[in-house]
Amino acid sequence: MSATEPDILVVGGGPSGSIAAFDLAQKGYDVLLIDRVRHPRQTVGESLLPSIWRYLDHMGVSDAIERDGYVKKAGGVVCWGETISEISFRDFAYDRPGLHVERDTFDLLLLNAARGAGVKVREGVRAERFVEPADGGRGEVVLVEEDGVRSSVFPRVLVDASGQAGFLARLRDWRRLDPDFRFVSLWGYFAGSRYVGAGGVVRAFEEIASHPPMTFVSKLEGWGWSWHIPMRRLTSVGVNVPVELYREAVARHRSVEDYFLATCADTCYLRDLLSGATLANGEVRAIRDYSYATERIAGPGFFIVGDAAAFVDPIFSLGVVLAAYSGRLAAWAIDRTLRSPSQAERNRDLYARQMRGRYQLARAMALPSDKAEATADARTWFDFFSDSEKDLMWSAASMTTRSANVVRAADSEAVMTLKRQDLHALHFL
Amino acid sequence: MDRFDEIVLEWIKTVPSAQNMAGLNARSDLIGDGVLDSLAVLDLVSFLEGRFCLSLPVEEFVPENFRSVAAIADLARRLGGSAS
Ligand SMILES: Cc1cc2nc3c(=O)[nH]c(=O)nc-3n(C[C@H](O)[C@H](O)[C@H](O)COP(=O)(O)OP(=O)(O)OC[C@H]3O[C@@H](n4cnc5c(N)ncnc54)[C@H](O)[C@@H]3O)c2cc1C
Repeated sequence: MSATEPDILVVGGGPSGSIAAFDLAQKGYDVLLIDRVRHPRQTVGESLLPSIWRYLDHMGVSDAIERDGYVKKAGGVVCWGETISEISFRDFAYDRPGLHVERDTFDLLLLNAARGAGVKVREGVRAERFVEPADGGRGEVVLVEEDGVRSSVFPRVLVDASGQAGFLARLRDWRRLDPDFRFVSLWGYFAGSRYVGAGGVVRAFEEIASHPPMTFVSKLEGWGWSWHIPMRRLTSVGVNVPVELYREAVARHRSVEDYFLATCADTCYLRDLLSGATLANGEVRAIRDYSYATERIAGPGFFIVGDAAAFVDPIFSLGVVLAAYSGRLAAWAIDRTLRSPSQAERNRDLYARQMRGRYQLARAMALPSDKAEATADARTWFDFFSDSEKDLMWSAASMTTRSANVVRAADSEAVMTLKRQDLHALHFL
Repeated sequence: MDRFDEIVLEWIKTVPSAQNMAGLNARSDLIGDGVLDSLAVLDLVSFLEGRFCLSLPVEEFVPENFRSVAAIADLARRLGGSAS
């Protein structure tokens, strides 16, 4: 490939970027992928739905996932006010489990699969500027190396997979924060936490290889919720709280760490799971304003994928599978367009509508009840789901009292079956 | 079953998730039963556009048009596709 004129430039080596790059390289294009950091790199988002296997199989990494022993999760348990309920993936026609993955090594596995397909990867290189192509020609992207040296590449198509950093959205001022989701997430990694297994049975961390865990979600006092995601060595624990509440509360504590640990200790069952566990390195991480949409996600010579396009709320672990889907959809649209430029407009439109529909449904699942509105895109999107996928969305949403929202947003008459077990309490052995 | 139905049915049979679907026919619910998911539909559109020399307008990218082999064949005919 020409060093400065690849067919495709992908900005970002997270799941969305690696998958888009993989597909396009497989279809025979010259693909250059850059990331401003070097992988493996830390990032949040560790609980994956079983639909992730579709993408792992496609990239040929499923054996490696098995070999490396990533934790398999059987479903989810939610403690929401007075109700504790459980769903198991096998009730929804999935023959494989979900996963709890350390994202540093997981993302590297995907990036290496892209390399294996012929993608050229350059790390420690940041995208700084983009000039849209004129008349179906090449665009220009200005890159900055770690030592500050600038250079330009001229791809036919730019895939912006820059995650929360939102390379293009920030450059063009296209990002719109979601007024209903002004949240802060705080999280840390614990050693020696007990975990929730099937049937709401609480187990010692050492049992994780023999008894698959559930992702455990708990409603916080007031507004907000927590996650508990046991992985191979450590357990990821996070709390999501509204920005205002966070500001007030932190002021009452000695430090952010102090506030985080106090919130964990105040939360239904989380305190019990964490009793005797230690916060690794005493370190608490934070991210705020991670809920937004982007005014334009496709245009002449560019597609925005994954979190760079939109993100709502991590409550249903949709982030990575959505990112993966958007990567494949964009790769499809780009390939169709390069083969037949007269379809460019149609392909962009199709991409944008699909992504809008998914975003609106994800938003309806996370919104407090009665706020969701029906939209045509959400409906189209919802009706592409299989019967068991619909059952899963509906049952999962019901655990946090959001099922009416899903039906309203999708404007759906589908007959769905609630497949969840109500637990009266967690059982400590 | 005309030529359109046959061509579409042959293609559907190559989808991995169709392999364990007993009694697959022109009326089987491909979406509800999970044979065609959102990714398989993309491959199908590529196939239809190439095989029948047609172009699918974005408004036609709705689940009703992909629900069964019969619906897909109707779509191809309606868009002026050629089965030769
Ligand atoms: C608090 C929280 C909890 C979450 N929990 C879950 C969960 O449990 N399950 C789940 O599925 N999802 C979860 N998510 C969502 C999930 O993390 C994301 O959806 C997913 O990581 C998106 O992948 P991506 O490829 O789009 O971006 P990322 O994985 O963020 O990758 C983006 C990459 O782009 C690079 N980059 C950025 N800017 C530039 C630039 N200018 N030039 C070059 N490179 C650049 C970055 O270095 C990075 O490596 C959570 C999100 C949040 C905020």
